[in-house]
Amino acid sequence: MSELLSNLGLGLGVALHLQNLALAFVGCLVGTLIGVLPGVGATATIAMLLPITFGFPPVGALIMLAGIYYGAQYGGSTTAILVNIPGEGTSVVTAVDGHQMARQGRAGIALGVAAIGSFAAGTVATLLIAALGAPLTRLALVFGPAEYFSLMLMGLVFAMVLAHGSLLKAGAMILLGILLSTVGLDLETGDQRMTFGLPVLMDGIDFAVLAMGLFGIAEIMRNLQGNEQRDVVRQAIGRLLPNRDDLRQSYKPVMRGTVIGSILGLLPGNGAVLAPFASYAMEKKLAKDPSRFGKGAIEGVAGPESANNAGAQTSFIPLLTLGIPPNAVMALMVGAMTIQGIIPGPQVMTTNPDLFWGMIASMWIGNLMLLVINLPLVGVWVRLLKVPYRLMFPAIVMFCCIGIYSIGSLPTDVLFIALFGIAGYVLIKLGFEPAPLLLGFVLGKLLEENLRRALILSRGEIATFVTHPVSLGLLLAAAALLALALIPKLNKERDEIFTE
Amino acid sequence: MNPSRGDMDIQDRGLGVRSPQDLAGGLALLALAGLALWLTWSLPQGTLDATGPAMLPRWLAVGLGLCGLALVAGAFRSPGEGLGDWSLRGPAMVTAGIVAFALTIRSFPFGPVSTPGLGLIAAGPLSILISGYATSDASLRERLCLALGLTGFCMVLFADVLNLPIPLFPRSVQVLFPADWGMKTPLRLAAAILIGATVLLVLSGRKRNTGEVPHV
Amino acid sequence: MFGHLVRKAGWPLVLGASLLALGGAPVVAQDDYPARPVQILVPLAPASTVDVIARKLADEFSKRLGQQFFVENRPGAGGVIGTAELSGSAPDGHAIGMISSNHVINPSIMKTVPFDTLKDITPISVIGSVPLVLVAHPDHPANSAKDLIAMAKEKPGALDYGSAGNGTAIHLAGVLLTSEAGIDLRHVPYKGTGPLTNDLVAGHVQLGFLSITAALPQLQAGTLKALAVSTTDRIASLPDVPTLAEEGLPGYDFDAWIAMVGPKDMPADLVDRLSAEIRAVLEDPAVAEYFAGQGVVIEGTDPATTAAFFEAELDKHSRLVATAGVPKE
Repeated sequence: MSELLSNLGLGLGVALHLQNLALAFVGCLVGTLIGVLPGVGATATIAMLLPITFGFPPVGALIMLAGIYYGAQYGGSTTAILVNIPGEGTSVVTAVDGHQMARQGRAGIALGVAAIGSFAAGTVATLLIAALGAPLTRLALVFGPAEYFSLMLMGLVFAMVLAHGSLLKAGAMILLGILLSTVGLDLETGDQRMTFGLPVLMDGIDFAVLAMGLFGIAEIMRNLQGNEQRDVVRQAIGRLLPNRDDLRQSYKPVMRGTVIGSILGLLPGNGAVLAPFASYAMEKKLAKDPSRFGKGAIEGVAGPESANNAGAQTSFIPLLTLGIPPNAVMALMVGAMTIQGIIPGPQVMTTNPDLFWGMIASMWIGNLMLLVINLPLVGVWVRLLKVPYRLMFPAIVMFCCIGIYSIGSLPTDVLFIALFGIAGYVLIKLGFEPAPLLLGFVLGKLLEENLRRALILSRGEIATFVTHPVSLGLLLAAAALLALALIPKLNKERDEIFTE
Repeated sequence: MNPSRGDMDIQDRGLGVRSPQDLAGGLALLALAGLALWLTWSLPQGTLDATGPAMLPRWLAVGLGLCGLALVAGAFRSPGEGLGDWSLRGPAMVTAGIVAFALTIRSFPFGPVSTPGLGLIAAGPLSILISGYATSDASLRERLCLALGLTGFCMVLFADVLNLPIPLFPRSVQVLFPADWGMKTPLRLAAAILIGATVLLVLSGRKRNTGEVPHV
Repeated sequence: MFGHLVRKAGWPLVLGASLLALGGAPVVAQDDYPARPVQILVPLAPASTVDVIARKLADEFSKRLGQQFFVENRPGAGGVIGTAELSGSAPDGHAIGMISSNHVINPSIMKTVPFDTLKDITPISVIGSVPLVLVAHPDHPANSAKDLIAMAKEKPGALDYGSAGNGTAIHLAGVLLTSEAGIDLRHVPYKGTGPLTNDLVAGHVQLGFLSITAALPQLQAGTLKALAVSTTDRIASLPDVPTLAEEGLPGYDFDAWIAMVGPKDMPADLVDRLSAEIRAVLEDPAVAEYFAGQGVVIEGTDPATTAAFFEAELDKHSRLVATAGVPKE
């Protein structure tokens, strides 16, 4: 315990250095900005800013880059709430209830709860990393391909819970999402699958492109339809910040979300993407009236947002303790570290303690700064919603185009957002929800990869998924969850048929 | 897709269709499943020991097709929603705006033809002006102000502040800049001109006092 | 409604058409190079080794040539998308590119590549090579490559090796191992080196090749052990690790590399100048040290050597892919 305190003391000493504070602030500010801009990803921006950080000392450079990372995570939720464009897999869930809240004039409350929940989750996750980072890493290594596959299957069950309409339609959307995720070169054999022979499809469909089309552009098309056009997000704006009742409703979801996010964030290979979905599914199951979900339930923002931020934080653990990046942004951080002459690996903690603990302390300071930056900004964002929609939507269209172009400098990506926009519009009109599709897409790649990898390693033995105890446990949990989700709905549907 | 206003009420029109929305949805899923099966036709499915590239997509397509069949069957059994209102103008003009941006932002080969690389200075305003036609609410002047002002703002924001590699000018204009201008001077100059033009437009609009220009 | 729309949309169309005309004008005439900022196209993702090296070179070139050199990433399709763009650029030296060994592997693993691997680019210089290390989990029974080969011969198909994806250099290094040693190893593809390293450290997959930068920290911490290096000479940072050639595979020589190229038909004097500039930059000890930190062994070949090298590598990799039986798609 005293060791932990002295380590945190060392870390705070480094992080509170004036230059590092300034860099953390700039990082969070830039991160929030790029997070808010639809499509512009943390990966592209960090890559562009890497050369600028050459001039800073290593700790400062990494603190700034980490600030950009969580700033972007947070900013992405703002866009998801305000204009229904989730920038990353992790903010899809926030868009579902958050944007409904915005449409009801409660955008300020949604943004405020997201900021406060994220801060609380970030604080807990930081302490967790400091206290248990190293032992937890060893636990995460238990997760091999078989365990991963079972975890992803469980994730798909969350997607069923996420849906608020027909289960059949939600199931179809999940399948479609997974199907879309298989587009591109087959990782194992190198075959082109469903690419129409187009080189731009060889690496598959980019998540940001799909999400922006299905959510953002389709939303605009739907809003433009005559009668609906006027009531969009232009209603009375209401309170700017959450009041005591809102907070009372949200604190439990925040705590539960933090726990879920912290655990899933630890897993290598981007387990953090599951966190918000798991949290949402849990809140919906625990709620007295689950039908409020999807129509602007505050728990549906508080829980997933906390889970998201906790996961973003703990996903640093594999990087810090093993030197293995779990996602693209972390890979950039590794690049930044090697450029600075620090080879990230299991020994960083002992060879560069000031760097290690300085970064951990700066995580908490970064979270505090995000709160300081974002709470006053809530007012600005909400006021932005007062801009008449006839001016707002062309501006969103242009920002989307620029943002998506900046990801890979491909005009074809821009064309694809139009295509997916039309597809999303048709889906909405046919009564399908886009959220399960996106979840299927996010999990689909991991699902297939790990399924096939587990089968290769077991030499085609399908029993590998039940002989691994962790995998078996996850499969059983998934089956139980599915039964919990299905039974009430099936009963209801049967009742409806009979009453008719 | 039928652009006509009002509910497409097939419910009473014989055929036994009680939920047109589910029928259309089911047919759409069947079509997608068929497309996926056709696209993966020539790929091997493999065995469990050596899974082939087509294994998962084919299972998924079959599953999707079954969902589609279930929806179609259900559409004749239980009552559901109609097809609702479909509008063409909004989706069409928004799509046109996005396509205009994609085709002008940078030179890119689409098969034998290459698109002109005009840069953000043309692609930005085009996307706003064209997608703006999705409603009849905004006047041309209003849209022009938005197009020029936002393009100037975005040039500074994306290319200068965030340093993202976005082409700003047509190639033929780019070579005219003096060698010692570097990369940022032309962009700042252009942004200043665009924003200046916007201010002038707004001011001249107010002077005329037509009353139809709302405050932005 | 539509007639009205077209009438209203008329003037932007005219504006658009005139802008289209502007965009097409060709550009030539450069006496004093570089006349404006120079674009270095990197057909791979940001923070990849190629990207990091390109950015360092861009900095050095900006200092030496008095004009800004800037990196633009055009990742996708194993580098094909970016290289296609480069091959179509004006050969005036204001667009150059940085490619990796993927360039000579792609024609063997892809059904179509939209340009000619040798003719549609101008070789400038091979900047450096990236040696690989064969690693295993510390608990693995094999303690040397010799042990490993003996084990594999005893139980064909029982051992597996991970790679960073089908047709990557890391994969082909494994293919060369199986063909040179005449053994049967099961290939397990991962999506990139990160997940591969993770599963190697966790022991889910038994063997794999890694670059020095990815392997070194794990080797130092004892979370992985090195069996051999892929090059014919030992590596300075791992002096105790034998080469595969020393371990009974005299024909084994494999590394990944990074090279600077231009669009086709670049004038010879310009190519020579850029190539000479690269050699001058590589002579700087600070640059050499920086490259070593990225796991890159500096080369700095002249244009003629580079062209011959590309040809030989294209041939070598196509033979490797044929051995692996990778479907060409």
